[in-house]
Amino acid sequence: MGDLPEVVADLTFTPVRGGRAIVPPGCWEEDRPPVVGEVVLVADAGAGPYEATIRSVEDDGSLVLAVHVFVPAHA
Amino acid sequence: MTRRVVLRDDRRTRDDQQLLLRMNDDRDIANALKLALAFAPAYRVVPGFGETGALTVSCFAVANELEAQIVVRGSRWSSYGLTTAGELRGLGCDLIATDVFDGEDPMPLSDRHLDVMVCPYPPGWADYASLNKTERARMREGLLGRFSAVLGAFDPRRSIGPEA
Repeated sequence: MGDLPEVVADLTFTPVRGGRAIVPPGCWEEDRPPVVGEVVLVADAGAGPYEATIRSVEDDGSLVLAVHVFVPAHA
Repeated sequence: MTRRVVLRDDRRTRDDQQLLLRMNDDRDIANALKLALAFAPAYRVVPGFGETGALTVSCFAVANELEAQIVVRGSRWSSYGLTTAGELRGLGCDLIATDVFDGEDPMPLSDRHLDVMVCPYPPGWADYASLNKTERARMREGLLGRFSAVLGAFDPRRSIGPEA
């Protein structure tokens, strides 16, 4: 778990919406592009890190993450 | 589909006694700062910040501590902090009411949402997203003190106990 890329997401709002967190491009802290399907560690100021999977990379560079622990069982 | 900020006229931003709720304990201030930097361009809609964008801290208007606890219990957080609009203004921060949208949908509790305008995004720098790790770290170094002071206005953080 310690070697995974770390990203920052606003977990205050988004995890209650189907486990999805949208991360603006500035929150990808690696000096290489993110890869869809890649597993990352996500945290905000007061929660995490949680494992998440990059579901998509939007046109503006934002990442759509599925934060595993917040994804509803029926999703 | 990205976060979009829409200004709202709100009488609560004009009341220095207005109680404001910050959810979570902000134990990782560096992460809070990274988020604020990443979202800074969304605040170019705020008059006075059109060129730079702004670093902000999210909070929610509540009537009293009981209402704050009710709001927190409706979230997945167990820690929170309270301050007043007057205290934040004393630190030189303006307050603006904003509706925050995730795509077309307003975020939960949007009608209570206020942004504390901490400072402009540093002029002369490219958007945070286009900086490399070294540049980002250098930028954060210069902002951490100011940002910490504003988050500190919500201290001490409190915990909600188990429901009776």
